[in-house]
Amino acid sequence: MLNRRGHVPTLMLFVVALALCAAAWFSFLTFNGDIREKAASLQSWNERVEAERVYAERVIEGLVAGAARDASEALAASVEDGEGYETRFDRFLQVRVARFSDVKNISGNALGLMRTHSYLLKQDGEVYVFELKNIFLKIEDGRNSVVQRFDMRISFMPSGEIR
Amino acid sequence: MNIRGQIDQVIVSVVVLFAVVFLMVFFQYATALLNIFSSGDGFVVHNSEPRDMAASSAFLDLFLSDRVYTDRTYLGVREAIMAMANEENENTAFAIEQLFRQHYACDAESFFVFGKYEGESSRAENSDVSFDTVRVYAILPSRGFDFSAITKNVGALTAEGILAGEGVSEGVSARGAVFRLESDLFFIARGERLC
Repeated sequence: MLNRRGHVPTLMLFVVALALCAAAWFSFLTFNGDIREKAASLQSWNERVEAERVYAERVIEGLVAGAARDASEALAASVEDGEGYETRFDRFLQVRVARFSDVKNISGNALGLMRTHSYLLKQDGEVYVFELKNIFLKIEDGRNSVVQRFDMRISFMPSGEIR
Repeated sequence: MNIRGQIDQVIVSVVVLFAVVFLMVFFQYATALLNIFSSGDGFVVHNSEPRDMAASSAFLDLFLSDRVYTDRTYLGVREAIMAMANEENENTAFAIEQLFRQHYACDAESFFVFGKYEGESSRAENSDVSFDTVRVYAILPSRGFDFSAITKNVGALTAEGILAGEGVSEGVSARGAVFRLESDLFFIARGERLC
């Protein structure tokens, strides 16, 4: 009799585990949430975040390519005034950034970084390497917001061709 | 007796342990099965359209913020287009076309269309914009069209609606293109990168 009484806690353990499994399963089955709707909303949000980043990257790349092209053309057309390629590049980049700002703005600090010369331009053999660090993009939708931080490294020929 | 009782308890504990593990595995499979049934035909479908449209939007903004040298002066493309919409200027048109050909049309899929809408307009409930007439000034790279204005009657001012005009739609798809209305002007562009 005493021995059988010792089995009671063990059997209780089994019953409790069974009850816990049933409760967890019940909660899954009765979970009130339209997964499809939530997934579609999250996917839409994710696509928007990706689109904003693609937009910023393409704009930065285009501004750099344009400034390089301007610098190259000016160097070819002008008389020798001692101004190096990097200085010309920066001058034209400022012009392009200012002109672009008149058309559109990028949410974040990308244009500001270029405006304040917070980039690195170095020559690596035939190509120039443009580095922009700590770019951030802030995408807001109601009370939700996503902040993306990334660096960009663009290699280009002096003529402006992106490599 | 105590020892026997303890042995019995150990045996029962092992059996219970196996039973619980079995239940957990069953539970896991049952949940996975439920997920399969509820996922239907797959609700997470990667859509490349927003990404392509973002690239096209950057392409359009870069082109509009570029400048052309025309009539002995530098002029922003946007301003040049605004001026052209009021008064056609062959030199400006040529300069814009040259700029696009040299630095933007490197990809055969890239194109740029701008024009002006005319006539009556109405905004329908579904936010589609309807206009009687659209004057298309440029389709670049030109596919049999030059800068002379083409007046078309279109039902809805959309990229598809405009490109679907006679001859214009040949080889041109509006997929991934960005369409923008500014005042009475519209721009349609698609492009990935500059060259």
